[in-house]
Amino acid sequence: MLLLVGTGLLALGQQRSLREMSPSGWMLSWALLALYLVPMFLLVYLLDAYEREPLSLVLGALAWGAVAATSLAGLANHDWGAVVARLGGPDLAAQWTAALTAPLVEETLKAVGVVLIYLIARSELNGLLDGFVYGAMVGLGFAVVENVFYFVGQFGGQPAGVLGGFFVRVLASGLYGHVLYSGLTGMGIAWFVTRTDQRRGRRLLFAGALCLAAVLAHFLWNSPLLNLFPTGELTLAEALVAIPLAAAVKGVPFLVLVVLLVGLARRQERRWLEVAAAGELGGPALSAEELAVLERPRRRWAARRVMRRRSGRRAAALLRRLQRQQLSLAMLHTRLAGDEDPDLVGQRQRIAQTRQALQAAVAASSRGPATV
Amino acid sequence: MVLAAVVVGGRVADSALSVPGQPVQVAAGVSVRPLSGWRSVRQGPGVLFTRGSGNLSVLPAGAGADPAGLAGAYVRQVLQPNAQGLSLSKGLQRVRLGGGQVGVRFAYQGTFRGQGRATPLQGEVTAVAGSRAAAVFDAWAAPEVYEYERADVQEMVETAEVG
Repeated sequence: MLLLVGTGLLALGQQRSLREMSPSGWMLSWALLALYLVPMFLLVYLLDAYEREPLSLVLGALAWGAVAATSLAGLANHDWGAVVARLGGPDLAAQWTAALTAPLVEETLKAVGVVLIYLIARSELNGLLDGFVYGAMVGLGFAVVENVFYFVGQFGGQPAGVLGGFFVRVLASGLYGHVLYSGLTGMGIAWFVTRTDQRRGRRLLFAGALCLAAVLAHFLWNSPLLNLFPTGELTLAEALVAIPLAAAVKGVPFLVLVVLLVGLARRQERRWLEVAAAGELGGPALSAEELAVLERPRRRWAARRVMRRRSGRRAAALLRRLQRQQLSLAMLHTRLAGDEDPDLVGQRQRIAQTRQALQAAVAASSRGPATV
Repeated sequence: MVLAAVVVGGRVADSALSVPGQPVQVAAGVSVRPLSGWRSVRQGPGVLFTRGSGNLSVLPAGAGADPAGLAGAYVRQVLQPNAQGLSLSKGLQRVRLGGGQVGVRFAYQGTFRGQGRATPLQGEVTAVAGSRAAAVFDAWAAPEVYEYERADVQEMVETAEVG
């Protein structure tokens, strides 16, 4: 918390300087980046279809990336850049510093954010997807603040420059950067802390490989290797084609890797749900048909849509509550040892009450009877 | 610990790698300690310190000169006659050397003629006056590498003895 406050003051000072450099550019940068931040936030937040992470922790991860990681990276990148210049000379530094320093410095600082989330709330980091969500949120916060620096500092800060920066760094390449790198790092950390069924060395190896993959992807992005970004004067048509293509060459392979890993993590979560819910199947809290619906977010949405059409909004809202309570019941099974733990018993009672209310709402609706 | 290593480690490593050499006497009352990798070449009344891509020219001036006046004279007599599209930073930044002498600094960018071709350069001029001597330090490099020269040249200027 102290670190967040300290770096927060530093970050505020930096933002004030950027605003003084170009008030209109600074405002436009934040307005444009809000268009990136909100959908990306929702996309990442909603990825975990079974157990959404607490908003307080998710916002904490975002704040760590936006405030602490960016401020500390600004200091550290500069100093490590000077070290590269001393060891390799300024010419090498001019070409390679961004690749040699930023990936290690920034990925480490962002990873610290995920580790802190784990230390604050160990029980919330209980799967690979959780690690991805927290890591990606740290990366999202980092990307937004870093982009304000780029738009005002590197792209000239005037509205035309800011729009150019938004095109290059967000529209053409916004899918490939910090969100993916630290999402992958978060998965590595989650693997290490959750796969306690494996030997420590094996966990360390796998987690290290994921973190290293994030650093290597960042290195490739910052390095002159495979750099097809056009230089010099470009027509608008050339820029609209050449820049996204150049970004895709560096970014798409890593994007594909992360999408595959997130897909595997979601499949793992579904298996986790099946195992966790097995003890409740056939009981009053959960039927096999309900579990089949719970497993797939699309089926859950479809069931609520059908319920709303047939029995109204209140019934659909109650069905949504029932589904969440059933998912929570499964989650409780993963944490609690005995079947008759008071928390489990209490959750079953809440499910029974919601089910009764839902049946009453369905019966009261004028659209005809429905079975629950 | 990891956090400290990442954030402070660069500064510690940079300090360990930057070893000042023996002082080079530029003129009476003006001396500079070049950092490792920099060599000195006498050039008229002054000395040029260089490491290939980066340069620091040190010109002595008479005692009692005013730093702002020295900086203005340097722009008129050295930078403007040799540059095209010269742009200077707004205002003069006050600097204080390790020995307590005060001076002023400004940054510049432009295309300079030299060795038969025009070269874009970025640099910083620091004018310092002591009680018995004064000097103008002009550091420059290609714009893409100047950022990586700045730490060295500023350290050499700030550890220089003037007066």
